[in-house]
Amino acid sequence: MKNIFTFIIICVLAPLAMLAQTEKNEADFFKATYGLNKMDAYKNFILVELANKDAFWEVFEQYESERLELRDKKLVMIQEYSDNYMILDDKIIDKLVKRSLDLNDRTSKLLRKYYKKLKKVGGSKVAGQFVQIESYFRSIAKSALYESIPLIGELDTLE
Amino acid sequence: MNKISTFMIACMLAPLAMLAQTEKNDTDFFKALFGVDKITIVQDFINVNAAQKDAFWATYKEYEIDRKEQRTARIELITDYAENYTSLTDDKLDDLCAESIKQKSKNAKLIKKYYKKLKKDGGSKAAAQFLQVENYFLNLSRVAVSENIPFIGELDKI
Repeated sequence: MKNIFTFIIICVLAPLAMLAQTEKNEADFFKATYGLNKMDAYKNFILVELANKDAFWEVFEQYESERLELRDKKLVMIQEYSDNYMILDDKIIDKLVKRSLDLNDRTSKLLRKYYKKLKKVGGSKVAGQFVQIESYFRSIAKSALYESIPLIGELDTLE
Repeated sequence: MNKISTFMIACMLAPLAMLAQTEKNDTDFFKALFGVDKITIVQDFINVNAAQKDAFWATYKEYEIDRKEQRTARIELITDYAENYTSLTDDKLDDLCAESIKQKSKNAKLIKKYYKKLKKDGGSKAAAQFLQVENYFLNLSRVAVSENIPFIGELDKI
């Protein structure tokens, strides 16, 4: 009987590992959802004046490279959550929560930092568009993540 | 032609005003999405030991009061954006962006503050469950707002 429960839990956890794999390739996510890669989708939405274009997208690329570093850290954390899900004790939970809160802080600070930089190179309107679209995709990604993973204690009733 | 454009923009902005109205009523938002109110979902999900239950849920109620204050501020911001959408100047955009960023930071601080309090009251597991479920709801509601409002410049082509 216990083997059946273990099997069910592994099945429920499998999408989490798949999600981590899929998230690694952001281009796939954007292509599947919008038929475009992220950069093209953003260039269609954020209309920068010709004179500011090069400087704006150059700063945006710097943002992307810093954001992807944080994203890699998040993927490692999701993987650890998945690997330890069946043996989550207070110590592991505290460590994961601390890292998660720290990553959230750093992601928010990064957005604020680049909002200011992009406002300097492209003006208020395009910087405002950047904040809106980034916040939107961030919330979508987070909601999708919560819907794809078993939350803490969610599978306890199976045991 | 100008009148038709104004009418179309007004039609596209209407859901925003409706959304602000719906958001005013938390119960409606959760009932529409999950069929029950928020506290029922949260109490069903978070497992607190019998001995810690009273303290935990008393602190949670304090959190809800603080959260609803922030929610009111957010609705005011959405309404402000809607009312000024067709005449957004750089100064107004700067103010709205600064306020939005400030509010998000305050949301995060509030959740962190109550995570610590709830950990003391109910232990690591229950506090982490609070964090997960609150962040999930917060992001769901942010997606709903973003999908119901025109982004900056989205209606310029009309």
